Amino acid sequence: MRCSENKRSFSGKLKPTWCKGCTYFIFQKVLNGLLQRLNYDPLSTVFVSGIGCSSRISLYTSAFGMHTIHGRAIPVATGIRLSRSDVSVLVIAGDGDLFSIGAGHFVHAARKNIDITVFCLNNMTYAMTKNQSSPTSGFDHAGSFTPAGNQTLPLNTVEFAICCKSSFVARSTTFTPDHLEKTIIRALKHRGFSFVDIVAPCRTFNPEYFPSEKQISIVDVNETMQFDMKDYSSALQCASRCIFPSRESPAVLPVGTFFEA
Amino acid sequence: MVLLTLPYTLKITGCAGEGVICAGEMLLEALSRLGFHGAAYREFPSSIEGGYCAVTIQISDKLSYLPVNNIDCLFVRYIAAVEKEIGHCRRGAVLIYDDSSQCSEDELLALLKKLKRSDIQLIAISLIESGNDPGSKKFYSSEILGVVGRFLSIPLSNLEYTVRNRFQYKNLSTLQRNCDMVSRGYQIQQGSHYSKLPLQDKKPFEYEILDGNEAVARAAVSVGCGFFSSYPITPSTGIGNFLARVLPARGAVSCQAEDEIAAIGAAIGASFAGVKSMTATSGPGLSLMQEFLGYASMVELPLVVVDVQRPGPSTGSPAQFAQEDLFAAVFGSHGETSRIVLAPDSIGNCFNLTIDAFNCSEYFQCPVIILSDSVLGLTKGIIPVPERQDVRIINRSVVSGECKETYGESTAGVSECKDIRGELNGEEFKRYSLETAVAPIPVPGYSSVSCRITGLEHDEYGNPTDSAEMRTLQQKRRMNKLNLIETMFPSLVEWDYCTDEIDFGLIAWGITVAAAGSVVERLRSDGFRIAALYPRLLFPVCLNAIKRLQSMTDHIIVVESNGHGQYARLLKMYADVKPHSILSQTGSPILSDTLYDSCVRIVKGCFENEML
Ligand code: SF4
Repeated sequence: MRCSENKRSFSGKLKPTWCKGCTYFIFQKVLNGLLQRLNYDPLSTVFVSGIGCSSRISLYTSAFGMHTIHGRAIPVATGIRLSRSDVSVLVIAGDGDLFSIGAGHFVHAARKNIDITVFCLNNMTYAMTKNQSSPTSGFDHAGSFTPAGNQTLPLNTVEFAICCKSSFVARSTTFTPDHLEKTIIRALKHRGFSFVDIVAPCRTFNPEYFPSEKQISIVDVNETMQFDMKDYSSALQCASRCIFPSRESPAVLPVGTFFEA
Repeated sequence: MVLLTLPYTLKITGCAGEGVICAGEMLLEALSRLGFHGAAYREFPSSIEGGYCAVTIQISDKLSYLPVNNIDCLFVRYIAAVEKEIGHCRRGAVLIYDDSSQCSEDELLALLKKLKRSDIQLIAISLIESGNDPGSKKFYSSEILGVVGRFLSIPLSNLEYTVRNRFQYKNLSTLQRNCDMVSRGYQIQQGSHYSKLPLQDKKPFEYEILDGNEAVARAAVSVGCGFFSSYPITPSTGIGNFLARVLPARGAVSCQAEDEIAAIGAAIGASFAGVKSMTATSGPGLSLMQEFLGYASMVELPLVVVDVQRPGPSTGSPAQFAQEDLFAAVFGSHGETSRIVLAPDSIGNCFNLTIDAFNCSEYFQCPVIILSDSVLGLTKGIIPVPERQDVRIINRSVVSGECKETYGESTAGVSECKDIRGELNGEEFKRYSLETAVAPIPVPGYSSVSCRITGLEHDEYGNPTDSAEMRTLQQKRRMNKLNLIETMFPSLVEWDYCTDEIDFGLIAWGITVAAAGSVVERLRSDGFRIAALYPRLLFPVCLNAIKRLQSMTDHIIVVESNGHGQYARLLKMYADVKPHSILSQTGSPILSDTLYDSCVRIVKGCFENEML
């Protein structure tokens, strides 16, 4: 809900316990700035999160925050939304939270087109428990439970979200704050279930993504690929080719809006 | 003509799909019109069609009598039912059988002789099927109603009215056929066996016929429940069926969740949003909800969870009865949680106790589990329409202020919040202040301050903390805040005693109270001096009441339908009582005759435990 008075800050009093240089700081800055600029009212906004590094964000805001249990942010957000159409509900959770333990809930909130905005802070690992493979870890990722290399292909979150009939699906990354900002605006403005996969690698456990070791090339699908984001099958086809990290070209990160109903 | 004594128990048996349960429910309706109290307990197989099916009707002149007495009159269509039920029949009971089905008189006599039950009186009748269209399954409900109604000498006009009421929305030919069938059944000769119920001359009361599930749902509506989410599971589904019809029209929400975890999660979300919320389930669902129950205790949000118990473990016996979930309700989920467990002991009480459950959860800011069971949930009872003015409603304290207490029906919605920013002087709001048992709860969109909540241990502001000292203080506060519950909600403990000089004390909870009540009466007329305690507040243990009972006697008997003696063990743990247990694991409620014998044996045999 927008507030009538002056624009109010979304920065909380609590200092984040994230590692120095964690990509979540970038996301938090962009999101808080945007909410303030778009005149959201912290007293009518609820951040809902699960458990994990990223999920702590709901404690670091001046808005209402629910730091819930692992995997269950979406059902809680659904309850808030269904009982109160007058508050804004944002879900901010990690890849393990949304797509491993909580995957079943994602399907149904998307199917039912619950009017919430879901941000996946996708760091491709379980960072809080010190690096185990997550549903979005790359093939061969060496997690502490899979020391010889994880032999599972990552879940393509945007393809999955489209299959579940989410009405807005996009991917962005903390590497490009401008693109991130534009994507978040679109997601917030969308009425219905909107999902943004935000590739935000963990500085501690996937250092390979950070300069200067290995540069990744970010490709905006809305500029480089021919598809109709309003058309389900066209969008699905495009998304299915845009897995990250892919086995063939792990250094290419496709971002953009894939689907908007 | 025999004048029957009340309570009178009549059981109609048959196969699923034959209209047996429909007949029983219609009989209950006809009885209610004559000023009787009573209940109809339905038993059906887990399958939709075929399989054993029965309805037990308890006719009484007292309120909310549940079917816990032995059978006075049994109606059967198949000989197998006689074998199954004969053990529950009183001596001299009447057996009405349909000799047009597979029951022949010779066979029946031979069977009764073999079972040494020649005391049973037989009445033969012949039903003709009253199926609405030939070839479809046979449907006997109205005809059975006619037969049984004639046996009890209920006026035919009353029965016809009942049938019209029941079938009013069916097509005309079905309605006509059923009207014909009830009078056909009424005209079947029953020899000289007709009986008569004692006339009820009490002034008619305004009543409704509800089952326990519907009573819980009705109460949730009255108390202003604004959000209900659940996942279908036998035997709790009736609650969702009712609320799905009723809540939307009142501006409230009913939602079918993808599983029980989501159901309770959404209810917790709605509660954070300032709306009274509830979820309902049975044993397997309660297991799935445990992590979120711990969360609700930790973040201190009001929440009502109904567990309509059925026997476990695992999938167990979905269509049968047990009181086995007490431990799961009290101790389920990791760590030590502060929660309240209540158990209704009659259908009418399913209504009142649900109101209490909401009030307790709003007042103490914690989850409240209502332990209903399959018999309470599925038994239709004639209960007085709950007087709306008498409903006491407590609403949580929202920033800033006290709990609000009102009387009468409440509408779903959020209470008004006062602006307290001035009072805070720029300081953060203490959601978990150590200075009070519970602090007000800020509500998004209403309050002048926000709050952040977490399942991590937190300080007074709700911020995560590693401080061992703060952890101890907060955990103590969360545990101790429930200390006053017994004093604040005296109706959660029911007493039945005449004198302080007693031979022994009897404790029962849940539906077992119904059998215990009639046993206590009988034992008293035998000369025993008994105090009976019926706690509806199972946890925290009602220490004041227990201590008082302990001061009267050393001999305390606890009756319950589980194998561990779960409530008896809670009493040992928390009140240092060493009770004697009467336990039952038969899949149906303890019958009063059985309980009576058992009590007598215990008292005479110097108080040993007993497993039925
Ligand atoms: S471990 Fe990784 S994801 Fe977690 S706070 Fe540190 S950098 Fe961020």
